Amino acid sequence: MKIKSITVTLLAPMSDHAANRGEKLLGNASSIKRRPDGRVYISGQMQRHALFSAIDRLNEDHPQRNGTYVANGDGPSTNVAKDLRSDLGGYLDTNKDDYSGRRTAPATATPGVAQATSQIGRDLLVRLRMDESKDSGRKQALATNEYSQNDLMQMSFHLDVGAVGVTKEYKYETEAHVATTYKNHLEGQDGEHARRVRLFLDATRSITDYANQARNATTAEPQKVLIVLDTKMSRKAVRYFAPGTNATEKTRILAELDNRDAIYFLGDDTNPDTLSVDEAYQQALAALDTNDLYTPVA
Amino acid sequence: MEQIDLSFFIEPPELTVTAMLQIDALAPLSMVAAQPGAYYRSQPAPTEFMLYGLLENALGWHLSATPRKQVMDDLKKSAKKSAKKNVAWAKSPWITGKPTGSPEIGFVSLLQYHVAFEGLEKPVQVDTFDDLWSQQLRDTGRSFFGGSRHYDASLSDLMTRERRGDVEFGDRAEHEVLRDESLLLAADGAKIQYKSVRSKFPHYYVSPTVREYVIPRSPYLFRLLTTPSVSALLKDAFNDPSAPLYIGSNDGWVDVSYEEL
Repeated sequence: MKIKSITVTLLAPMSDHAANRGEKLLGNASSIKRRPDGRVYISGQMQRHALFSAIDRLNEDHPQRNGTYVANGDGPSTNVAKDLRSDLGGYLDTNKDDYSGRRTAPATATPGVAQATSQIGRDLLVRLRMDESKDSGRKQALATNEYSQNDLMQMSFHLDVGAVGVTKEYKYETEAHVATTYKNHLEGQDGEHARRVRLFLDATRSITDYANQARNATTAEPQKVLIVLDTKMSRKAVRYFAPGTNATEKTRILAELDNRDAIYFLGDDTNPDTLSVDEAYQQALAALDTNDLYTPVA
Repeated sequence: MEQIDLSFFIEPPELTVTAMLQIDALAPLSMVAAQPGAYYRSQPAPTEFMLYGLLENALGWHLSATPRKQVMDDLKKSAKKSAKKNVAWAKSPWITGKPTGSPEIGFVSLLQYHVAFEGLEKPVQVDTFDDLWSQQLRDTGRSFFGGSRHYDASLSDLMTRERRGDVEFGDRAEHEVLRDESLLLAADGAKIQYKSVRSKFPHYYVSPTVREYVIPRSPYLFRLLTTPSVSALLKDAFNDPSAPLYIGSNDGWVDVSYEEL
């Protein structure tokens, strides 16, 4: 089987967390991001940030790292061969005049959203002031911080396997034909394409980096996960854990995957009759080795 | 080498096929149509240009502006040639090359004459919310200086002195460009031009921006008219899309089906 895309959708429990904050309310109360239905969420941008932090950590320790790195979010390069952020995350080089300096991201994420309406609490913080000037005494030294008590967060990640390490180039030829050629940035780096795909998959179970917003040790390591190694560019399977999805729809989502020979792994740490999350990941990572990863540059 | 066959363009746009495009949102969508100011307001439904973009995405036609213009110019020439036999089409935009509609973002679709959207089948109700988003921007003046959390460690002493008011940064005539030692050892009261430290700051500074998202309560259904050859291309493309499908931004995941009526 040829794996064209990878979809991972998962549920991660988070308690007493503010994995992503929004604007300040009423002056000094910093708020947690919430949808109109009262469910807290983590924005897509924060999810991408956390995914790349996880990729960075895994890559630093990787025996075949071979000089690759993950650039800072505020300093992406255009070096697809070595910079994993510019490869998997895309870039827009604003110094180039049109779209030629643009790369669309092979790895994408949706916002992480709570399964049900969240219970929000407020924490009172005392700010330590080091300012000894005269009017400092009059300024507010207390602040409140919103946090959410208990959520099961649903989040999804997707990788366009064929786009990893590759740039597509177009050249107009006569008679209404456009020739497509591919630039392989990973030429001469054997196994690097597969290594990046594995890093992506492994990173989706290793997200612990809500960094400067979460403060407490928030983690998005999954409790339940559906990993789809797909023969087609499709992401419909992300509905599997959505709150409104009933048993029939779940069965049909999996049947549709079976029909097109996609392979999937369903892990659940709370159910003794299924694979655990760890087993699902182990088997999915093993399946990456025994199946072909699609690439347009054979 | 793969070839994209654009010969559909040379056929007259006789829109004899009616089809239905169904777009299911798999995540909240942020469909910002025009170059916005401070608030990225989302449309309640995809605009025509977003739909053209979606079709081209599924077909794998990610042509950037320069080759796209080459292709369009050459195709128009061929179309003109074939139109000599088809006098009836001489005044149509397909031959005159007039764009259909006004693209707010400079995107010209190869499909613009051969696919016509008839609007939403029925209105879709949406819930909306505003996301606070860190927009990354480039700048060489005041903004990068105030908008970056990170800078080179060698500047930490200088930055502390700036916070204390010992030195001043600015971009007026009195502010000097200092380099290396004269920068790091600037005397108290020095007036320093922003340019002096630009290379020790990140490529981008961050500007918090409010961006609207919509959560559609039902799928979007668009009826469209097209030619038989384009319809065949689209049928294949949505059965096995060349690229992941989005509307609006790259977290706006959608699932799309295409059906001839």
